[in-house]
Amino acid sequence: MSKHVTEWLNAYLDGELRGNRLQQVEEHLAECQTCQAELVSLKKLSSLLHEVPAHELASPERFVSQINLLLPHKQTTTSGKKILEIGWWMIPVGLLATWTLINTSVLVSDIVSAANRLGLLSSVPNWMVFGSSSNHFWSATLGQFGILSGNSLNWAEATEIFTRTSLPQFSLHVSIALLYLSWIAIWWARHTRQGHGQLLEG
Amino acid sequence: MDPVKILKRAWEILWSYRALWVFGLILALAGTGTSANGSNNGTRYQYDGNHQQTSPQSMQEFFKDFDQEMQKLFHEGIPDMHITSQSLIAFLWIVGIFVVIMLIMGIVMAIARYVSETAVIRMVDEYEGKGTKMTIRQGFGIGWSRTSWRLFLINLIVNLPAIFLLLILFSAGLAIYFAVVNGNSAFTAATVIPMIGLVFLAIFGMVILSIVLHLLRHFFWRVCVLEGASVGESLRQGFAIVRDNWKNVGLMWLVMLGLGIAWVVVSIIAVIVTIPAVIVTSMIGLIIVAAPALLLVGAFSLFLSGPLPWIAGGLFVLPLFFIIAFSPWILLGSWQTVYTSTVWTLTYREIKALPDIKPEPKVEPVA
Repeated sequence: MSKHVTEWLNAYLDGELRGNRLQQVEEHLAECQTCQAELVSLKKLSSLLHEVPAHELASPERFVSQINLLLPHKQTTTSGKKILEIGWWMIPVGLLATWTLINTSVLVSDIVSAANRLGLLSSVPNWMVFGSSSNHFWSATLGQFGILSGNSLNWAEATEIFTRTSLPQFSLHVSIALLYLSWIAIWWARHTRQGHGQLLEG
Repeated sequence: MDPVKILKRAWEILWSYRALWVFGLILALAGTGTSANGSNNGTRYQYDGNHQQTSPQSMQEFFKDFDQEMQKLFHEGIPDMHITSQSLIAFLWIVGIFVVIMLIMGIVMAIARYVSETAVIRMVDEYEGKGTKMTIRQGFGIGWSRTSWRLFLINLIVNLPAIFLLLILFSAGLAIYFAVVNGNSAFTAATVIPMIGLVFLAIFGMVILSIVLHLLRHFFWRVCVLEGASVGESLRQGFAIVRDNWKNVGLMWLVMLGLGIAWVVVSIIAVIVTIPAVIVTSMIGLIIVAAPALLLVGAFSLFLSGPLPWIAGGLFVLPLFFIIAFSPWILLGSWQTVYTSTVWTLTYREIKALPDIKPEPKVEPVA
């Protein structure tokens, strides 16, 4: 598709285009939906303006001053707002960085565990090897005291292992995903509101 | 640039342009998930303190025992299952043939993948630009070009850092393992801590680099396909586009990541909901593969004994059965792939159109 012809649409609507330019705009309009939509909105605006009786129109100077009064004051971006804006965009970036950090830690932990299993870290103190403590310490303790036995002990051990290993990781992933989705939802809502605002202003 | 408009437009294109689904199916079969970035997906190898450590010596013993067992197996076969040694060797040959066929299929799928990538990008661009829809045949026609080969090369370049790092880590791991096995070196606390830190930094940096490169790849590919640029030119132009429009590209990327997470949730629900459909397609798959499977079993039973003909026959028809059985889920994957590709094509078009809309020159008031 050729370049957008937004800048020529007003002239086109007013019948001011001639020759190649007119042909170019017409050809582009035939294929570009964005510019077609823009032309339709310009036509609507034009027809709206035509509906206003001529005597209701103020003098140009008065019109300009009225518009100036109606226009919202240009907001000066304070440093606080800038920081807030940067912070807003840093939320998803921070979440992604956290997610990457967690996965990298898990991967490195797996590599260390595998090295330990292969006996490569036999001369390294136990405290340095990740996860060296038993994953079913509490259920084993309860078993030693005779509080749990048989199937109930097996279930308790399985539950404790799951709670200690997979559950924290799963919870972290779900939490990050939920936070990210919340951010997207807020962004979407803000975007929609801004869009409506722009439409009303326009 | 309005990301919401792009997302909505891509959604409309996905449902109104069904020919894209065929290419999406190929992409889904080729396993081009856009959300996967080579990360650990939550399955974790856990060290349990109660387990015994495997010493290098015991590993050597294990390999020695394994070798002896294999030799025994090939000399005697498995008498309990009425499998002779000749039959076992023939079965291994069949498995070898199967692996070769799968490798060839893999190459064919890789070619089909890049042809489909090219086709989807061009078809969406053509539809958005001229409003014309192409047929599947036309899609293959435009996809089957030198551009597909360039897309492959670009993908290779994008993945090179990760491949290099993996090779380095693997080689270092092997070197360390053999050094310890041969008693040439041993780990101490002083060496382990920096090593863990180094590995951590290398992997973390690699993941970040991969994420950035995979984002850039969307633009490298689109420059290549839509501008007909060479590999080097695509890399240069694609990088320049992202650098000049980093805010728009970054926003779109963040939104797409969010959609990726939402897609995971939706796909889990969709997978559960479509289980009845998968049961039906599994039955259809069984009916379709039954005849070829029986033919293969009959043919294999001429030179295989015991349960081996059934295993070998099953091996050959299983891929086809899985494709038919899981076709509803593959279709879901195809929609996601086409949608993602369409979003990035529309984003590229919007970004390319942006510099053309220049603000009108300011008119200086006449004094």
